[in-house]
Amino acid sequence: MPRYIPTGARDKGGFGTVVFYRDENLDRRVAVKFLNRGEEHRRLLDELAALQKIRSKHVVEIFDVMYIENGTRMGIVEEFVNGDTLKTRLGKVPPGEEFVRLLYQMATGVADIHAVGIVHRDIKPSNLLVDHEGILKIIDFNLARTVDEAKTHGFVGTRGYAAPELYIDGDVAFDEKIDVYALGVCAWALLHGETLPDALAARPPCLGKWFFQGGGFAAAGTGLDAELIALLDACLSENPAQRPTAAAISRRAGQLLLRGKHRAIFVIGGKTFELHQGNPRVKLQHPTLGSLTVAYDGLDFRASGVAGEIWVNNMTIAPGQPLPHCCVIAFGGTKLPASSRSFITMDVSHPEVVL
Amino acid sequence: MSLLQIGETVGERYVVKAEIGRGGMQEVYRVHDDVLQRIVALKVPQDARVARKFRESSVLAARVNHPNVAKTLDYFEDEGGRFYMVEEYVDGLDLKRILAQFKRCDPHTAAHVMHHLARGLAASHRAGVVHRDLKPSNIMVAGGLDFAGLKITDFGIAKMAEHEIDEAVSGGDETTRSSKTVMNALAYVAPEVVDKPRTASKPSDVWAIAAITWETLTGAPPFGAGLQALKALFSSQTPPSLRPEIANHPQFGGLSRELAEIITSCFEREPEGRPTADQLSARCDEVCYLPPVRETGVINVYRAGTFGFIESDGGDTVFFHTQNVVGDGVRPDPGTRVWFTKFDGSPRPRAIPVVPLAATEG
Repeated sequence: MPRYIPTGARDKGGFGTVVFYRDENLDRRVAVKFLNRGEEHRRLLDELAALQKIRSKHVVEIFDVMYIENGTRMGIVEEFVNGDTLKTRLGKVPPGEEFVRLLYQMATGVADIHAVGIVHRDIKPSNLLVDHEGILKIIDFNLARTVDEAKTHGFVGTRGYAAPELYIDGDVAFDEKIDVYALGVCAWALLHGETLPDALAARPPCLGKWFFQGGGFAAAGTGLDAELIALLDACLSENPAQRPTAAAISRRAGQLLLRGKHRAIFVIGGKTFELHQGNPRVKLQHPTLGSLTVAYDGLDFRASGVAGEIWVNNMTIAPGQPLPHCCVIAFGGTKLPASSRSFITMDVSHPEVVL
Repeated sequence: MSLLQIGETVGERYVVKAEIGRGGMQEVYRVHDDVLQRIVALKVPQDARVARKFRESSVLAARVNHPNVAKTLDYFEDEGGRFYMVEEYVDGLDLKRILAQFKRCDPHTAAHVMHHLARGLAASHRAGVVHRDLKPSNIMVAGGLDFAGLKITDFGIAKMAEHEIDEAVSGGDETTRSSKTVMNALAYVAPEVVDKPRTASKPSDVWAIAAITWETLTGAPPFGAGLQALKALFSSQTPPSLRPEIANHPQFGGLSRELAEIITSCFEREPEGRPTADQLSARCDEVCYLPPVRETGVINVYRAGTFGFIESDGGDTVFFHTQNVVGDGVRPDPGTRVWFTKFDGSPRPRAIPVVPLAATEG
């Protein structure tokens, strides 16, 4: 009795076909990705093995391989992701927290893939699924290559999402920055829809001019962080070396998810008080030794005014500088005996982003 | 005697590398999956009588798909009539062995544990799956003390143990083995489960998570262990309270009290009165803490009685203040191994919190 029973549903992707099956052993749906006829099984199995190095909650799980048509055609049995692709969300995500959360997950997943030296090569909304728990998963690794062998002959990829360097006749060399370019286009499409500006849709895309004239991601309107805008704009650079890493985008988006949610607890002589969004500023004053004003800017707690000799974790601090997230603030110079100095501790914590 | 031999291949696919665990119900092996070229965990029930339930519990677990739940990858039966379940391999330690390394842990770690367990549980409950036997030994911590991820495992084991629980309750022939399975769980079971084991439901899982968090926070389960817990469950009308040295600590007390309040809301005797896993998880989203990004080292020397230095395993010398040591006001001796987070400082980085590790690491 066969283990996998077709349910009748199927999806046609760019590379091969996805057919949905029921796994009788575990009584659950699975997605089986059948490759085009003529693909060499051994090579595909090696590629699958390479994918196993990826440690990410944003990459679809592979369970098994199966064969049809008398063993001539191989299928990859994958987890069935119960949810929708980002294709259903294009142009519908305002530049607020939800956008940042999606971007954070996309960038984290791509960074996890790059961390083991793999290039996905086909990052696009229809390959990004969000399941019912709100977790984004990257699917369709058929085009994936390790960085070492990242060469192809002629154009491969999806127009609109493919980086300019891929539009070359003959041998094309590329690196993981093509995924970062695609990430940038995905971010654009989430905000504005898939009808891309001419400069982005051209083959190859010619971005420089469009960006300077059209305002790039800043044109998405208010609410987007300036540093994130700069990162996303740079994703679409023609020069791959000018694009950021996916990890850098993930880091910034992760920080932004915590904006305004930090809490600093000060302990002074056994008593505590807190700084947070609703109470963002305090002047810590010693009668004779000096004062320090600490202000919360939504991400960091910064010294906004320093008078006298103030040491933070035994380091001097300049106005505008952020304080370490756990520190001892000392009033009075280090040459004074400890008994004449005054100490305050500050500990910053924040909610954890658990997906 | 182990059921499988090292080097043996099962299911024409999985090569046994090592036995990594044995509970009352099943043996767990680290195996190599020759098809997908990866290491996975293989579970085999010890007792043929529970085989049917083993499949049921595998099917249940396979319905849950969440980063905080160990992924079910495969299930099969071989010609010899043996049953196997394949799960994602978590390279780390179970939470019971992690907790055994501390006298007690800090509230930041306890908050992290509760948050991740609540998320995993919320996903399970949404998929209609009740765990019924949540306890520290059923939670895997990837990376051990690095806390790279928490994963709930062994869904439905309690279903397999039903027979044994019935035996234990009725005092039948098999009480010795049953009592071991049951005793281990008592510290985490809700009152309604003790009353009628088969009535375990979603709120019973919420109670268990709260009990696990309490143990992480204070070093001991809320109602004691074994029969002691049973007695406390039926006699005490009031929830446990934090020891003053935990509740009143200037830096850690606030978070500890906040956690205690959340935990206590899960110790409602009436299951309907407890928050759902979703509500618990939403509540955890609001809690401010520092996820444990820690390293280990040894307390080297004290200066001026109130501060000292740690030699980290990474080779740094790290400053710490005794008020940032998690403990009961007792200054750990030089030579004590500690677990801490490092922050910028001059000339040395500063450690907070500093959690003493037990003498023998497990």
